[in-house]
Formats: sequence, C-alpha cells, structure tokens
Amino acid sequence: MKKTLPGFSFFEVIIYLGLFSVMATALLSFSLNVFDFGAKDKTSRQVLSDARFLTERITFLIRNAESIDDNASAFDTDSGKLVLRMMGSSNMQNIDIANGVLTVQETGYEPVNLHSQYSKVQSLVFSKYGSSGEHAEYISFTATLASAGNTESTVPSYQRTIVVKGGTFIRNSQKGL
Amino acid sequence: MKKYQSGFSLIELLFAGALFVVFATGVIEVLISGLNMDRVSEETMLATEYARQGEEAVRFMSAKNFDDIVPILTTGIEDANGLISFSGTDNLYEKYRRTITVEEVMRDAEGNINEESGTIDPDTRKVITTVSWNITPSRPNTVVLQTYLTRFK
Repeated sequence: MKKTLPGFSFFEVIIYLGLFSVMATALLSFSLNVFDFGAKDKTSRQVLSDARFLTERITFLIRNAESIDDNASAFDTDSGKLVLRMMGSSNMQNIDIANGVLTVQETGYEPVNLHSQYSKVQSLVFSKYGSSGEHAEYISFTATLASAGNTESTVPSYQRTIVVKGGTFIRNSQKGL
Repeated sequence: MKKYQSGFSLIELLFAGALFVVFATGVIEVLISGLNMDRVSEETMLATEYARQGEEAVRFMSAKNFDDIVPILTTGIEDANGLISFSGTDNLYEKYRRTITVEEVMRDAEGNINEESGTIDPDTRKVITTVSWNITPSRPNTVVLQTYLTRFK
C-alpha cells in the first residue's frame, strides 16, 4: 500500500493563496487609510488649535484696549490691521498680517506670531462700530486660517481651512468705568 | 476505527468569529468616537465664537443706548452703516443659526435678582444668545450664552 505523505493538496494551496491575497489587500488598504487619517487629523488639529488661540488672543487684546487708533488701523479689508492703545499703558499693540503670518507687536518690542508655522492666515477682516466719542466701540472680525501644508504628514496635499467669526466690545471705553 | 482529522469544530469557529467581531467593533468604535469628538469640539468652538460675537454686539448696543435693549422673544442682529440693531428673528452663518432673547429681570426686596418673583428692574436685562446647528442632520447641538446687562449712567 502506498503511503500518502502529510501535506497540502494543490487545491488547498490555491485556496489558501486566494484567501491570503484577499485578506492582505483589505488589510493594506485599511492600514493606509488609518495612516492617512492620522495625518489629516494632525493637520486639522493644528489649524483648529491655532484658530482657537488666535481668536482668544485677539479677543483678549480688544477687550482690554482703551481705544483704537482708527487712522493706523485697516477696517473692512482682507488684510486687516488693528492698532490698540491698551488700558493703563502708553504702548500700542499692533495686530497685523504679512505674508500669511499674523503678528502682534507692542511698541518697542519684536513682533510675536499668533499662530504656529503649520498654518497661515488667509484673511483677517476687522469691522468697527461706534466711536470713542460715544464711549462705545465694538469690533467684529472674521479670520480665515488654513494649513500651510508643511506638517510632517504623509498627505501633504491635504488642506484644512477654518473660518472663525468673532467680535468684542471694548469694555474700557464704557461710560462710568 | 475511523480516524478524525484534527481541526476546528464548528463551535470553536463560531466562537473565534464572535470574538473577532467584538474586538473589531471596539476598535472601530474608538476610532469613530475620536473622529466625532474632534468634529464636535471644532464646531462648538466656532459656534461659541459666533454666539459671543452676538452677545458682545448687544453689549455694544446697550452701552450706546440701554433703551434699545427691549425685551424680545427672538431676534437677529443687523449691522448697517456702522450701526447695530435688532432685526428679523435670527442670523445665519453657514449652518449656525443665532437667536437673541432679551428678558426682563425681577429683583426681590434686597435688590437681588430673583427668577421667580419680585419687581421688574427697568435698568437690568437678561440677554440669552443661542447658536444651534446640526452636527449631522440627525444630531442637533446648541451653545447658549447668558448675561445680564445694566444701565450705566
């Protein structure tokens, strides 16, 4: 009697190979997706956290301002500029955009970036209502922030844009304060 | 005697399959909820900022002329020619709908604000700014800001 050697039949090997390739394809595309997702998520997060910080900072500066230098500021334009005289200080705070970078500069000091290098400010529009004569001034702003495309990411083409609408009343120009 | 081939029994296979499904569901659940949290926090931030813009605009109106802050059920804000006033029933920015409610405020004998009873204080108003939007068509969300405004003289 002929002894059969243990092992796979040809048919079984074909089935295994088929199954393996199906699984491998599914797994590969899934893992690629997960990596991409991670990179996109990182880009998104960066822009969001920059947007959050920038909004908070601008709001804080306007809220604590005593008055606005109307002539030095630029309202209702995409590259808005705001020059504020702060409460209890003779120095001015100068909020300005150059080459997609938003900075704030205090008189006599170096400008400070208001966001990371991973995002750029596409536009920042300030609108002003009221006047110092009325002791009531209000600034509304719309900031458009986009990813700068330089994160260490596997999806450099992935773009993320966030538009924030905010506005603040200048407290210190209020009557009676 | 017939020899059985070694291998998995049907029960074992089913059990393995079920285990896999449980683990896979867990992993996918975590991924999806992480994604959702990111989105919710982003949209909440934008909505809060939009609400704050509205609230601050009302504050500005109040500083200019407190008598403009009349009690109103729901209103929007209109800005024209450097002036801000109540107008319409709401404001819409992308998918964020903002409404403003102005209520009268009652104070008790000691002058403290009392929601239930007391006399109406003509020099104080409660301003409620609500921004509502849908995160997904079946998942609405709201941000509510409340503040009291008083007349400055």
